[in-house]
Amino acid sequence: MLFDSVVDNIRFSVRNLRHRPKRSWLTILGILIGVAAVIALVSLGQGMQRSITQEFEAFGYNVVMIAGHGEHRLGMGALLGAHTFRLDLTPLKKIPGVEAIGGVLIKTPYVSAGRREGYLLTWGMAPELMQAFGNYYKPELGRALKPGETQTAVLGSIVAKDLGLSVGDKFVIETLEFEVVGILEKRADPDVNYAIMVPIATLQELVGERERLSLVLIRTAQQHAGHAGHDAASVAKEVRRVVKELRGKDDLNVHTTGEMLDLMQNLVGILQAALGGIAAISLLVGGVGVMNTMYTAVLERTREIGVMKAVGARRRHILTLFLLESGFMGLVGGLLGALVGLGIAVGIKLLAPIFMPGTTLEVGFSPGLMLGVLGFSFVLGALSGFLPARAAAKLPPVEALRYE
Amino acid sequence: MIHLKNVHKTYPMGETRVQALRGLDLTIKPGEFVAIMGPSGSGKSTLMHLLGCLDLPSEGLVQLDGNDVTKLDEDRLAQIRGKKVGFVFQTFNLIPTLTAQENVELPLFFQGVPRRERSARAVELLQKVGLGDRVHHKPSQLSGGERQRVAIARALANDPEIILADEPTGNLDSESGEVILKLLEQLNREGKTIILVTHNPEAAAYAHRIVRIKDGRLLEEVKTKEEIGYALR
Repeated sequence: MLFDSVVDNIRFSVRNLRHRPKRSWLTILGILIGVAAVIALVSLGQGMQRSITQEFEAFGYNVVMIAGHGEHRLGMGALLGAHTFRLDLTPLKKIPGVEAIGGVLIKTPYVSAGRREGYLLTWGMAPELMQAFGNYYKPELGRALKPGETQTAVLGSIVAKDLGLSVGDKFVIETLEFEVVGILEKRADPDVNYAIMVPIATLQELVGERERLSLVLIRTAQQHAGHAGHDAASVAKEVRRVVKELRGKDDLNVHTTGEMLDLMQNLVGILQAALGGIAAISLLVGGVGVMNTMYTAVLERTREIGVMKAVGARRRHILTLFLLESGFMGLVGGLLGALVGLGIAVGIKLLAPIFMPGTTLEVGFSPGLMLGVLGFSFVLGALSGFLPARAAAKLPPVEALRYE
Repeated sequence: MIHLKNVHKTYPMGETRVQALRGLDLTIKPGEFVAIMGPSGSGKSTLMHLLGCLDLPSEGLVQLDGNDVTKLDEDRLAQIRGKKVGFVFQTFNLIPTLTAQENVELPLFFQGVPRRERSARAVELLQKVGLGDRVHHKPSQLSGGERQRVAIARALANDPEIILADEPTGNLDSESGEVILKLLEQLNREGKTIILVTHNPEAAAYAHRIVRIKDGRLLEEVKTKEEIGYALR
């Protein structure tokens, strides 16, 4: 019987909403826009967080990086090599916890492959280092660089496509010919997707930067249970001390991937909160729209309310009726808004590589968020409708009946 | 049985207060057919609201079946209205978004009657008022007389003791009006108490008793058919 009455209440509410379709839909549109904005931003934000985390996971949280001052650009390989430095890595190798260490030189030499040519991002890399970071610099085709090689190259997925090169092809950097031995898996970091990776010694020679580095990567030992391991932060501290001692000054940045991850996630979080706040305001405006519509509805149906009271409606009956109506507008707005929001997020994901080549955006879809948003928009609708509904429920029957 | 004793009702209108009823006494017994007549502004609408528990007096006693209703809260009054009183209005007051059947179901809905029972009762009542073939029509698809018959079916939904009809023929042509009055007469024969508020002598002639009020006070009471005929001349 209770269910009976709920179903009838819902039917009655829907009937009333459909009686004024244009107004109902416009009100729903207000909610829809707010919800769509929130969903799109949150989905993209979550996707961004997720792909950053995935990237760092593949790269490893236990990595210490040394870079020149002024190389503060974010992104894993974002060091375009303006600032190079000399550093003897031998003393660093002895620091407990250092598992693998190697330098990277990043330059933009003149590259030509047949008719395609240009100054392209080129990474000089110790083959050992590439293998130590095999999870991240992972060949999709062919293989990684091997120790002892001099004129081989591994290409990022996009640069390989742009140059029209595949495994086994030959191309020229400055004056030397290189053979493509592998093509990397696509990563979220465009600097990797656009990178040409060659043995570091060859690149140093080629660009006249002998023994100079843009970046040093150190992989630290993983922590094992029951075995006093070395976490990246304490290794970084020791590295910082040794580097300062070696150079006699503190002119290089030493940080861990864990710190970078925190920093980036903080940034994304702030961005998300700011954009989400703006989206939330539009949701609030949608709620005000519902309130406005419901006040109008109460005014229009004053006489109807009087009639219902005359035939025995109690306050809660009237209240329920109007709350359901406004709740419904919220719910429908929420449902459609969630779909539109997801659509926008997917659209941005698809369009992003066109406007920002090399980037890949993820869309985080979570059923929990969807359910949350639907619940929230129903509650928002009902809350916005509460004051008008209460006003309706409190109308004295005689006055309501007399209303023209 | 409705009993009003020394009832006063004042309400604010703009800056002044209107004294709609000034010490009115009235008793209506079960099964009566009473017409309340009076010029506009005489307080007959206010009286109707009090008789139907839509409003409470400023002063005085209103008893329904021996119980004082003046101390009850709005929800309790709503319950009494739903169960004991059926209203028929001059302007029909049907809900435009609902069909004839749903309009009749409305009082049952507010009393928590299950759907199946509700719908059977509504169809039965619509057949009784001669609208068995208009069950699924919206008010806008019905004529004035048909609408008023739907309203009567709605008033009967919870099988109340009292039917309160406020100028029920006021918006109808004389033919449809006669149908409505005959229907009320029939209901009275079946045992309902009918209270008809009107200023139309022809309508009042259907009643067994006429109560005239003026300036919020009882003017005269006319009780027998012969007297009614005389009084209306």
